[in-house]
Amino acid sequence: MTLNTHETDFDRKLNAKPPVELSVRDLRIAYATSRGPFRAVDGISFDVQPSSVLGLVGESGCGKSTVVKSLMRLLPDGTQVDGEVLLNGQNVLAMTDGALRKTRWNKIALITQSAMNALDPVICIGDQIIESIQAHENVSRKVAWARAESLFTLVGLPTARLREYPHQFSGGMRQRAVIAMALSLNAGLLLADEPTTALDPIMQDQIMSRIRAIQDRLHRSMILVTHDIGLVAENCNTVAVMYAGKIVEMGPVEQVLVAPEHPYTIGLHNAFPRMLAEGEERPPLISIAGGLPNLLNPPSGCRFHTRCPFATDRCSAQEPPLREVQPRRSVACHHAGQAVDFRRRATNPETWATAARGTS
Amino acid sequence: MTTLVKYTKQSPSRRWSWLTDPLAALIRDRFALGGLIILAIFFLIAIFAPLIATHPPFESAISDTGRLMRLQPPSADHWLGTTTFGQDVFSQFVLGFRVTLMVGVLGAIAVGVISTLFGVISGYFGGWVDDVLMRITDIALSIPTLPFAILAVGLLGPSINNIILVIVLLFWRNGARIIRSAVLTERERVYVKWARTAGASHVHIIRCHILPNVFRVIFLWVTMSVAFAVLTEASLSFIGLGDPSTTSWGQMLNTAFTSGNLRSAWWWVVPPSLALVMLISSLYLVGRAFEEHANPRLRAK
Amino acid sequence: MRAYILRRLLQSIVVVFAVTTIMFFIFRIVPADPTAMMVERGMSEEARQALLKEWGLTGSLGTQYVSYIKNLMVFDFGESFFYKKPVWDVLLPRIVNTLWIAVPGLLMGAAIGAGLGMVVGWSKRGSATERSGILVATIIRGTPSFIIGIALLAIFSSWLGWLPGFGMGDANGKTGIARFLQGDFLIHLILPVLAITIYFLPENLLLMRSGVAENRTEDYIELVRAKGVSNSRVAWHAGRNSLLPLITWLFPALAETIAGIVVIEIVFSWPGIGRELVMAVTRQDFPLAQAAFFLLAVMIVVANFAADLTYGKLDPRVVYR
Repeated sequence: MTLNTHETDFDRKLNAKPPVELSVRDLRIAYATSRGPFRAVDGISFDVQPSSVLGLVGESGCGKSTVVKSLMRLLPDGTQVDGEVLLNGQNVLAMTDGALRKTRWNKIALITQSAMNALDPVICIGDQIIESIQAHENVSRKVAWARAESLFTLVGLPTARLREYPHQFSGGMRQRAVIAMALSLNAGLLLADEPTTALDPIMQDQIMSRIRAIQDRLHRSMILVTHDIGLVAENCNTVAVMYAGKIVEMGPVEQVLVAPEHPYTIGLHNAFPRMLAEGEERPPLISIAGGLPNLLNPPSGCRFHTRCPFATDRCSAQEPPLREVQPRRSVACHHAGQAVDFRRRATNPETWATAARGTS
Repeated sequence: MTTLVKYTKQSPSRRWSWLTDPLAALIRDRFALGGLIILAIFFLIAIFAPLIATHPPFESAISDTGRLMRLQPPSADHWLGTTTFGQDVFSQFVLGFRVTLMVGVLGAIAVGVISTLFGVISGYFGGWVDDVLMRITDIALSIPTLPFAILAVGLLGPSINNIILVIVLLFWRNGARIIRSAVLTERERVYVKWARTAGASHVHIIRCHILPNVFRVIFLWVTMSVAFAVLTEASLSFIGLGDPSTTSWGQMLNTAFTSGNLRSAWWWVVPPSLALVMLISSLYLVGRAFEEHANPRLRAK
Repeated sequence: MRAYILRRLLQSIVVVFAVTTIMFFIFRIVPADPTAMMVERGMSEEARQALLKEWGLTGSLGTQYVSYIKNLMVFDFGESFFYKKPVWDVLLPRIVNTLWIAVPGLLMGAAIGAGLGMVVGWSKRGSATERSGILVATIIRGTPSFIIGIALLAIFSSWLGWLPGFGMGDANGKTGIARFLQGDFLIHLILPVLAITIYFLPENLLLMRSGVAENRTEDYIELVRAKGVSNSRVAWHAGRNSLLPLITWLFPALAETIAGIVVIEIVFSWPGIGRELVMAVTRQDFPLAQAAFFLLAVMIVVANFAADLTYGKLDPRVVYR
């Protein structure tokens, strides 16, 4: 990785900032809609250790982006957010507006999806970066601009292009610019919300290796939101799997992805292609039939029981709590003990087809 | 064959949705509902104006002693007092509803028809027809509206017909542009392309697919045109280029102004002013609700 | 860029040319006799012909048209029937008078309107600020300009007696710029300028409001908020982006706004170009009316031209081709 050779004092000062420890406790989020509260997130808890990367996976609409936005209090007015978001012990949800403003970008920064309108279209990118610096640090425009140049070098963009506007950038370049902006104050916690979803596979790979290299150098704490199991395997230390507003399985990546215990994680695992070991036969890709339940009126019991091929009467009647099955490893399934059997049966497409017929 | 009929026939509720959806939106928006109620009252007064009026509008009241009853404040006989010529303000005011709404509605309908014609032809057929029509609107859009109206009415002579003519000449151009761009969007829709490949005639496509979908835009433009027409008529009349044989609100204000009684005879000035503001604002409120309904970025979630 | 300006300039000239041609035919087609007000009772036919010739009203329509265009190209509008002096000499001071009330009125209306529009657009959806802002703005927008003028006259001139509402005050024998820099003139300026401000304000407000309300849900606003800048700075981003549609609307809207100013000039007896146009039409002073209308049309074309150039300055996405 080409690192910036002319680091300024200001760069050094910011680079010395420590990573942050995040602890989320019983987070509940309900959007106000005309047909009543929409409980997008329903009582989740997780931790991010300093300098570690947590992967938050699930299908679109499961609430993972809502979680990320709530950590910076970016949800629309009227949304009800309960629980605790502890940043080095300080509760973000209870902060005054002034304290919140100082925390944003200084302690938590956001890498959004690089859709065209993630950046202000009528302001040049350099000015958008120094806006974030000067909002928190009392430095001159010149110093801030030098910092923006170091950041552009860090993400592999020519510094001359700082004076250009978003529409003059390609999708991949915009994504790099967004990453550069997120790093502008070297916040202790980075939230990457589907950072590569809008890009082609080659660009995805470049961006992710860029993020990994930065992570290796700066040791930030990070949450990576994605629906791509492959990205989690390559980039994360721990993983939390979300389904319909709840965490169904959580643990170290190597354990959860190799030996998933929740039927949903098993299904998700089967739905993605993966690299095969020498001589291994390619297993069929199986998608999970059906869609997410309507959260205006969530189903009783386990929320996955409507799509689960292994569901029993107990699953529809009683909600399984997230239980610790091993140290640092928890699953929310009544039948977690049968995981070995589930994993075997789940490789047979017929298993999932039965579940689909049962629900339709 | 039977199955085909079954699939193409729309259910009655969907069939009229182009009309009922926007109407429902108007009733839900409280401002627009207020506007609609005011408009309804204004129309009722306009229809029954000759029955409501208490005096002939141009008749001068003469007192028992044989003197002209000039600038009388409101009384039991003259509910809104009299003008400087001893004419009954209430009767002139009530008959003014008729003149104003007639100019507004006739003008707007004519504008609506012509704009729709030009907009649909230009947008649907495109090509050189579109080019020529759009260059014409380019030029027409550079003409200052009221100065043109002043010139034209001044030269042609002040009459209701000429005023309506000028209104149509002035406002078809914007309408044609707006409707054209709506038609352009509709023309590119998948079902229109299907209908074309299936061999449907142009008339059929325009009548069944294009018009119901651009109705919202046409209705919005006609609503705004009523407001523009009323405003233009009032301005011309206030300047002194109104039809002298009628009693429009603009004309009442003109007489009060030129006779130098603007400052003293409130009973003569306030009613027509208030009525004009209420009428035009109500039309704008209705138009606004329509616009917001059509704009998903502004619609409340 | 240069090629674009040249092309737009050419287009503008074509438009002006077309407008003048339309005007020429309007004046020839109408039934009114252009010599009616010049012809004195018992005037001989020779004298009448000489007069017509002087005004360029003899010969075929074709030759009349050619000489008409020739004269316009050098801005020669002929002589006013009524004032018996060159049209330019009559109109030039009128234009200056109009600019005195129009420029400050329009600037203030646009600035205050855009500012208030930002406040209303940034206020919570469905809040009292938003709803009352929209309602009041729509009602003022629905108020004809002469009623705004009448109301201001009634309140500040008749009732309170604070401000004059008629004409431009006494010249006191002063000419040139000194004429305009005396207290009496400036006091007379207040009410007409205020009327134009109020008249022009609500549309700016409503447009800015819907622009800001649309922009505040955009993704880039969320990122700006995430950066931890102040709330007013976030609103600034939404406002900066809403300025673009406002500008595209603003300059062409001047065409409609001139209409309102004509009537405001009449209410306050302000000797501007609009009031002169009305008087020229009622006096059948054709050269004067023609020239006044022509100048108003040219103003609009110039305004549209300026709009295109300004838009390019404000929006980096615009490429001149």
